[in-house]
Amino acid sequence: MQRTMNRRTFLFAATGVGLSWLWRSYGLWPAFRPPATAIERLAGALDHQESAAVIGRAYVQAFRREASPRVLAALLVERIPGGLGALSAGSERQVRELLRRSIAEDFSDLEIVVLHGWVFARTEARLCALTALRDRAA
Amino acid sequence: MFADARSVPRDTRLETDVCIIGGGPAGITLAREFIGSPLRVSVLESGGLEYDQETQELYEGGSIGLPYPNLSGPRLRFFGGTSNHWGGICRPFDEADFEAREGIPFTGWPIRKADVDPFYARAVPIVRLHSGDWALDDWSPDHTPVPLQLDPDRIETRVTQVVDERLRSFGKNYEDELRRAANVTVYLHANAMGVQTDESAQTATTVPVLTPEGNAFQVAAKVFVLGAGAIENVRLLLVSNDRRPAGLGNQHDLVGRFFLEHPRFFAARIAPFGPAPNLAFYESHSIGDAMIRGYLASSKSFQLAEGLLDLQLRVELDYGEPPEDAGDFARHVVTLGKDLESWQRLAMPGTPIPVPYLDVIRKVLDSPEDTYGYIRGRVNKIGITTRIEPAPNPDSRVLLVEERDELGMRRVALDWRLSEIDKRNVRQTLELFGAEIARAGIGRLRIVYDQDEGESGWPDDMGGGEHLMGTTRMSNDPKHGVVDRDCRVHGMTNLFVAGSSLFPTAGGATPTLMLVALALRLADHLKLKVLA
Amino acid sequence: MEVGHDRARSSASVPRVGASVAGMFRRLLAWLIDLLAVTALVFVVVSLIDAAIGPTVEIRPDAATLPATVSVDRARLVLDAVVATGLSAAYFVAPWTLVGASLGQLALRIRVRRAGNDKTLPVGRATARWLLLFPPVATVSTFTTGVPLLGWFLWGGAALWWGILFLTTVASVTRQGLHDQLAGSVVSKRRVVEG
Repeated sequence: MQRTMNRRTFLFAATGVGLSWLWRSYGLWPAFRPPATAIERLAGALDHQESAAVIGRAYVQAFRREASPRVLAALLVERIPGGLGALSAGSERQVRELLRRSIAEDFSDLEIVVLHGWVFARTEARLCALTALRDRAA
Repeated sequence: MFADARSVPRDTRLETDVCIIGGGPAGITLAREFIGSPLRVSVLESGGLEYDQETQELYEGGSIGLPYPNLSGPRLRFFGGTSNHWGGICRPFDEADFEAREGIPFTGWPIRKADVDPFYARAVPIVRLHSGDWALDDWSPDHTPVPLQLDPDRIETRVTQVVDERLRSFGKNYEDELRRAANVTVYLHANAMGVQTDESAQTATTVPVLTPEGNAFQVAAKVFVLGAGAIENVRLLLVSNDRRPAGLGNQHDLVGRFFLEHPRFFAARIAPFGPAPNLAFYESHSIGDAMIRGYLASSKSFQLAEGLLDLQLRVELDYGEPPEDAGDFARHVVTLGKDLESWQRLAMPGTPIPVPYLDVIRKVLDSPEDTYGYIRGRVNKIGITTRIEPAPNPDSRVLLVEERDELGMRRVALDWRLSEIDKRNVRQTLELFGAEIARAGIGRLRIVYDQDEGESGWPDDMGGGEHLMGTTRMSNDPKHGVVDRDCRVHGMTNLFVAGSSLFPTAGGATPTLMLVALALRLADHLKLKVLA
Repeated sequence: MEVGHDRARSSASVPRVGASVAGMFRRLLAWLIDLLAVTALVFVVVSLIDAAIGPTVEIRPDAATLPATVSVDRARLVLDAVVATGLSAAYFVAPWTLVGASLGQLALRIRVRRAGNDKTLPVGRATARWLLLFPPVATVSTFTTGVPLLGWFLWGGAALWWGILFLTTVASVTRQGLHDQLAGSVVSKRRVVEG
């Protein structure tokens, strides 16, 4: 038993390392490169990561051209008042507040998407999508 | 006074000034306006004072378009007409309902709200309401339920007043008064078989009447009014084809077209994120003498901006029915436990036998349904059903069929149709509503209606409100309507129509108050202009 | 009944000659009457307090959220509980010490006496008997209002306790339940004066 657990733990860890390496590689792409911290901050903003990922997968299926963490992060940052600066400088609480405000604005501006019948703000759907993509191996 | 048509001698020719066909809300309202005047009025009512199956069967008719119940279902064929089973919900049309809508053909009335307002005021006591106030501010005094705080430029709350159940039947309300009226005679069991005209086919001369026993006679009048409902008015015009083969008022093939309903179906659910909103305003509740019920709808400014018609969003609260998955026993237990918890907190402490506080008892006796909701403290589900104001569609129509009823008169069938713009209306308005619900922090909306599903793109549970309208629509142009702004049938000098068949559009409100107001307007017109 | 003079003298807890033990049915009926009476008493008094200084539970139809439509004043709830407890104590203890029977017991013609000397209970024993019979558990449940399920647990405990009292009463020849034994009391039919 002990051995199997150890092996499994190792495999998980290895995947984890692999994932974080993949992230870094995104940063090397020539187009707009939101720093790894920006993607990280956004993807981690939602508490219930699993649920977010489920919604996020639905979004990605419907909007395939946004199916990249880089693209999603860039679109999200665009909507945040203060942009990348505010995102990087702010505390976790402040980041959430900024996102919350974006979401409220989305509803005011009717920037909405309908996923499986549910009406979401574009920002929150993108946030979920980012969470979903971050979880995936690629 | 009342008379039984079955005892009128065969082949009699009754002379009268005004002959009204139909003893429903329109016919009764019209007739009452002549009480005490020097004019003689005859009302021809097919049924008796009570429901009877044989007479009701004369109303039967099938449906060949979108699914619709048998035509004898929504209507009642005895004195008082369909008011013998209506829901009592009243609200006047809004100003925008009378305006033509850009991009939506066949909208616009030949009259404006200002033309109808004086008659609305007179209609209020006739339908047995207490108040002519309809503004939201009039109905939110202290300590009464409040409307949702949404952006009124997007989703507005509208007020309807509900007539007391015991006072809804026009027949019961006004039977005595009409009985005492010397110059008004209501003929019961009198079936109008059409309208006969002179040779020019421009002046109505007589109405042939047939009773179930086969007794036939004639009613001659100076003025004739069809007030038999949107389906029957069509039937009467179309079967009156002795001199005009297409029927009366049908020179441009418009009689029966533009049939309108207020289709309704379950469309969405709200999942509240925080404490459930207090939605008591959207259930029937009493304020003073009046019974109020609010409803949500897209605002007129949104409709105009997006080129849409009206959409009502009716809230249906589910306070705690057990979950649909009947096998999940544990959840039933938890639900019951929560209910008992909620009642416990209202019990006086320290009493061996649990009793609620006196205030709670009082509130429960006062308004049991509301209080029940408050005590529950939570809503399991918030359902939304939509009621659509459909775009006028000439292909949605009532037409004659070959089959004849027991009296030998041809029956009608309904070919009910909706349009693509109606689908767009539902989709766009629900998305707007979802955004508003979310913006207000209430929760998220899930749209259940899928317009790609099924053959017609409309849900299986779609029904009508039993609001039958539009089939002899009003327009100043005979090419676009059957009657003019004075309710006179185009091409006829003395034939008029009353009732919801006049409506060119369905509006965002229930039809009864409007049709009573229009009947009053017609009565004034007849008294002051036509018969003066 | 085999109770003879000899046995009467030898056991202090046996009712004296001329009195007889009150049956279970009578006692339960009297208990029920008392429960109703206490409920009514508390209801009236607390309703009067509500009328005087404002309601403990208020239903507010114009609250924006559904839970907020019912507001419960916790401090008042505690006050009501204290008042109810006091009322129930007064209801039982005073009549027991003064005339030896509560309202229900008077109606059913039974009485509560000190076991052994047939006098009315002194205040101390009457209070003890009340405490044993009318568990403040019922009152404690008030404080748990809002704590899910705890209130029901406590009511369950009270029901269990009353079950124990009932069973021990039935099992006893002299119909002295646990509460009677601990308080030193006995319930008998009211003595009929002969002659």
